Amino acid sequence: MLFILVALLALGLTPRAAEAKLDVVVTIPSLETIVHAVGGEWVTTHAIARPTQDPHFVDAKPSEMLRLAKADLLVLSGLSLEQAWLTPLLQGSRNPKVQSGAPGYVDCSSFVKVLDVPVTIDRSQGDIHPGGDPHYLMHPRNAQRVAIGIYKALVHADPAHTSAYKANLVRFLKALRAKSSEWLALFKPLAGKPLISYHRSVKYLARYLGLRMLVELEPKPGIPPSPGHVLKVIEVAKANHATVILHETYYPTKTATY
Amino acid sequence: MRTDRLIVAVLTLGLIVGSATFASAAPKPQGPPSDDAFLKKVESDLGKKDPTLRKPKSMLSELLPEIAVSVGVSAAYYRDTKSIYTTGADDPSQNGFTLNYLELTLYKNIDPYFRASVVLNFGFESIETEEAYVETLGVPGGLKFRAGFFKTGFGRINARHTHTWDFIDRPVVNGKFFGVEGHRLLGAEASWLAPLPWYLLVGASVGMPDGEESNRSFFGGEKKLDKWKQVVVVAYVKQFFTLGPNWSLNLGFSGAFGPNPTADGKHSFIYGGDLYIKYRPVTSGSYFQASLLAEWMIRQRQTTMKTLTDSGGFVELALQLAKRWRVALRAEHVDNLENDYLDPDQHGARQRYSVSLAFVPSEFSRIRLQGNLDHNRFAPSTLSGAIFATLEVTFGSHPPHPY
Repeated sequence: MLFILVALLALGLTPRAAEAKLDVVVTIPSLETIVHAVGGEWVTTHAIARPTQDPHFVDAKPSEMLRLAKADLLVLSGLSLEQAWLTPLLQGSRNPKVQSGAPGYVDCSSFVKVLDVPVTIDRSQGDIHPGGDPHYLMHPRNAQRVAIGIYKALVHADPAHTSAYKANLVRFLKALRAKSSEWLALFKPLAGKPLISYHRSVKYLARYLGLRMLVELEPKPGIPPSPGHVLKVIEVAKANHATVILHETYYPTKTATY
Repeated sequence: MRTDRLIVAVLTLGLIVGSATFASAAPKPQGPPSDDAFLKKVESDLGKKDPTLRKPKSMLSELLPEIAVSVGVSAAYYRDTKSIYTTGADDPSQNGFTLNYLELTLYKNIDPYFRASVVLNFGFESIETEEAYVETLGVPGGLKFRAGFFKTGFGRINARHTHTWDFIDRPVVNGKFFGVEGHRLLGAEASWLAPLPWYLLVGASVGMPDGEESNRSFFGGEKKLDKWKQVVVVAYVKQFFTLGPNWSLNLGFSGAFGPNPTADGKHSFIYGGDLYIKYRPVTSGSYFQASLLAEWMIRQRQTTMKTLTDSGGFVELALQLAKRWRVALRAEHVDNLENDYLDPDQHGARQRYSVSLAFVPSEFSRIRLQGNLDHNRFAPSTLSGAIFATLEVTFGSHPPHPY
């Protein structure tokens, strides 16, 4: 009887089998970086959009549906950035774990502070985002908020590796906060200077670095620069001595170079 | 005495083993306490997420379905008005102006299990149901079920609505073999996404042919038999392959089978193959893409005399020249069939060539100039041309289109 008791207790002491990695699908590459930083060796990540692609116009390829079909978590930017192509992927994936509203659907916009929530929503103003400006990752404080939110989602899905995720999160936050001070020092000379951007996407960066947003090359969001508007921009730039144009890599550079 | 010592030994052993078990069952160590303190500091520094920064949606919008409207208007000039042989309900079918389509799409997730979609088509004097179906959301194993009235998954272009096409008119073969609305069934469908390393979707639909507009080769507009005897079955396989970072390939095979009205026990069979190749370079700052779409169908209709076999298809090349400019070319062919008494006004070999230039101001509007050259052996003018100018818009929250 004692032998049985010991045997039963011994069973309780045996280590559990090694767990499989968490499969995380991410919409944009910048979010993938954060997921990878917090998840570390316990997650495999895959980003649907390429860094060179305009995230508003990604193809909803069936191969991405397959990726989503096997995913444990979907991490997205939200605020209608991916709405044109993510919905068919979610429907085609047939994976209930990552549908909107499920715990595996991680909308990072719910973690951050959002700028530019429009008062009126009308498409005559261009391709506006009804929930607010979705380019929030450009502000390091939002990136920290997103990292914490992703950490919580990972812990919910995979509580066994909580300590590893926590250590990774702390390491990421410390590194980011240190870098943030460096960047602020680097950009100090530009503080208050006027800035031109291609798309209405750099408000967060401008706020963070203390830059002044002057005008965009797009006459309205989503509308490519027209000759008339470009001339106006040149006038405004000259009048304000603006010398810096900020540009995402996925927009054509012809106009900015001119 | 010996019993007492035995009891003490057991209890001690039990205590040792028990405490070891308790220790291992306790929550794993959470890392150094300084990590928790650091996180607390960061979270308070970042401030609590302020829910008032986000405008909450009003409750009403959560209860209403998503609604979208699509409208297409065109102006057409046909060189020979006696040689107009359109095969699509939305085609510009007369000289002058045409309201190609006025569609109202309503859709919503009903509950965690189902999603409903309804598409209504408005004419000047009628409202028709174009599609109305319910599909499942979270059935495990990659399965999806659908029931209602829907465009079947035969080929690529059949299930898509006119406003997603690169041309304003329906491909001749689709209209000739199925009907002016393409193939639709009132019934049920099951599809399965295979757990393979590449995308493989297998599906089958079964249903009633509903009218001449969607089931010309089957019991289209004919006097109805006992309903279950009319059932049409569609089966399809769709595959997708990524060929490197810039190329993708879609390959599909479809079949439709069902009784036809020529005589009892006679059936029609339609087989189709489809191909869609897309080139989209993933280089910075470029919106260029090129795609090739091709479909071919073979139809066999059993009759009391012999089996009538004909075929047809189309090839489309589309070039996205800039963010807002798109050019497309199409070549079509349908066979010649002597003495086709089932299709008396549509027999004869026919080729049609089309070119389209579209200016797309945004994802929600499109202006197109299209030219057609129709070589139709059995039309009064064997060779006739047409020019269309179209304006198509979508407003509301339209569901995104499949790839």
